[in-house]
Amino acid sequence: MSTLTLRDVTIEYSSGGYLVRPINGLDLDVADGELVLLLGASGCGKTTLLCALAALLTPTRGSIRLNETEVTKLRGRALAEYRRRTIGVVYQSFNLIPSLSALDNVAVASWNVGASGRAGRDRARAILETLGLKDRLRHRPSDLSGGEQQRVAIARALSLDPQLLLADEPTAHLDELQVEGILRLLRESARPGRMVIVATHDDRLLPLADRVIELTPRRHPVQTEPIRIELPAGSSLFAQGDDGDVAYVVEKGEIELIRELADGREELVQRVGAGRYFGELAPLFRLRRTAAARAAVDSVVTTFTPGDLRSLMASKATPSDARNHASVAGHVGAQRDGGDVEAVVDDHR
Amino acid sequence: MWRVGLFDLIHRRRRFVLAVLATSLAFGLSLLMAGTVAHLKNETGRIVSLFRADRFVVADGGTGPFTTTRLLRASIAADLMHEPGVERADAFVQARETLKGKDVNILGTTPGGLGAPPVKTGRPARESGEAVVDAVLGYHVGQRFRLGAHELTVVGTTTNTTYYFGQPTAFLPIADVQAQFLGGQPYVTAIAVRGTVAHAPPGTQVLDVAAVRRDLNRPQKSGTQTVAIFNTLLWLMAAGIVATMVYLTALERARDIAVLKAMGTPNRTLFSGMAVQGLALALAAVVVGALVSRALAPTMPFAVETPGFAYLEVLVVAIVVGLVAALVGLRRAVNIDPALAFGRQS
Repeated sequence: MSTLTLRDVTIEYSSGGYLVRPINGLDLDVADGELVLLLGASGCGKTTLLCALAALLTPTRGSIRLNETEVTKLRGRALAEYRRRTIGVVYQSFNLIPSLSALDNVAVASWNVGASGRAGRDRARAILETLGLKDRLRHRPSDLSGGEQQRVAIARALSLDPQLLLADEPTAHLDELQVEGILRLLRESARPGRMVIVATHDDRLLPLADRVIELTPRRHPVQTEPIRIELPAGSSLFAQGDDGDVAYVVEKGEIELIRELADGREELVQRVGAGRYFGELAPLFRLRRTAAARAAVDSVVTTFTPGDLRSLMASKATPSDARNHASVAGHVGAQRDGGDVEAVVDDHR
Repeated sequence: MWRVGLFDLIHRRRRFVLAVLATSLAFGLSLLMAGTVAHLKNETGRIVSLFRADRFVVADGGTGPFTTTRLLRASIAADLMHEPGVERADAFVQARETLKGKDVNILGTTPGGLGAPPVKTGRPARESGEAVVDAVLGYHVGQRFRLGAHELTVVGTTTNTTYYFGQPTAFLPIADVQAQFLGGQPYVTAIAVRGTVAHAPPGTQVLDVAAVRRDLNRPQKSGTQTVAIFNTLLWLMAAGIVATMVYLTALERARDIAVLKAMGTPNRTLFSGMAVQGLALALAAVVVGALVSRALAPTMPFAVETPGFAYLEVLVVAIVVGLVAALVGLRRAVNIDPALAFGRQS
């Protein structure tokens, strides 16, 4: 029986000097024999999470526990042994070694744990024959179709019978005919003694899964009526990395948009004064907040749903303003209740 | 896992062959230079041994018998014959001349005495006007040539009598050389002695065979040292080529290496794969280099006598080069993030 438990897993890394936090406080339990789908758009942290599960990167915070093993604490020989025997990985671009035949690509896993050349090849042959690649044993990756390459990659990942099989976008480079065989293989791989975690943005894979974990922020139902929020000086409206459901219009005071830097310092992105709005990209595109919002002085903001904000812009913005807004790159003026409303884009990716 | 390195090498065989050829040139030239230096040392030993002497008497204050420009009275040789411990003493004259555009050593020796060369073809020189010449000169028996105002006849040829940077030697009766170069005066440049000389005659000094060899090697010393420096540079060049090949391969295999690291492959195993590549390349280059040196040897201006230890030396150098190259590749591999296997760099 294998179980995988993630508690409060947060992964941060530096990108261009800015702090990126694709995984923020994730809790997850995967039961023995379960196939879990990590679903989400590009950049939502699926691959990053797989890297952490494969012990290729250490989370900033939290615990990853496979049975009794705390994966985040593994070092040296124990870490290598975990990567060798406990984990099998199927990569998006197959990652077969081009100089090796299909047989040797699979045998590498056995050679890696000290098996002799012959023993490794015997084991690899048996697996490849099971996967229907008996006639492709001596072929190099360049002579195999995408589906065949991915089957070889799966054979390599499974050759040491790992407890956890990780697959990163396994169908990304495959046509529909090839996808079917790979999905069947992945489904069959999830069995007692082994868990399978598949990261994908392809929702055609949903029926495959026992469970689906959506890593893209969900759009929560929001009040259709604007809410007026009073913010004392220094109080936080939202944090970087939060899900964003609404945009804000500053009625009074001043809001600071702040981005965390990788070295722990903060960078002031912009000050948003009365009559201007910000934070509309996160709800529009289901992105996380890429900057925090904090009241510089005692302030009042009003929430708007993206739809409301769009209506507001359409009804009261000048034609040139509307063109500018479509570019979502700068400041847009819009008449609201007789006053100017100016947009401040908060997602400076 | 060394197989992975080997198969990768086969996969990149064109580059491998080019690298082997480039490296083999370095190793081949290194062997040629070693052979040339060995020849220079060997010819010194050979010419000294040809005299079958135990001691050489030269003018006091001068250098060795083959380099001195000071002269002795020829009669000292006869005087030495009466000294206890002296079995035989033969004077000789050493000079230099140009024949057929080549610098040639001229040795005037006593026919049948110490310093008379063994003939390969023909017979020894016995009379005035006769000469035995090194085959390198290209004369054949019976051929006549001019030495200054005198016309000489080749009565025999000999081999392995080059010295002083590979110059061939012409052996003449001593009187002919004295007539040619000393105006017929009864002087000589040295006296070869078999036996021991208890006391050096006045105005002379006695040198043993080792001292004579050292003296003859002295002018070549800077040359052989230069060759040694070039040799080191060639080895470095070979190391550079092999290391570059292994390093570039490691760069190109970054994704493969990341995958292997993600599979828990330890650095020592990665090293074994790279060592296979470095060693295979370096050792193949030694084999090709040895063939190259043998092929080029006849075209060299000096005879090439590559000693066996030079091959062993190059082999050891190749192993070191291969391992160092593998370390260079490993240094790159260690820095590859295994997360690159997922297409990301943390």
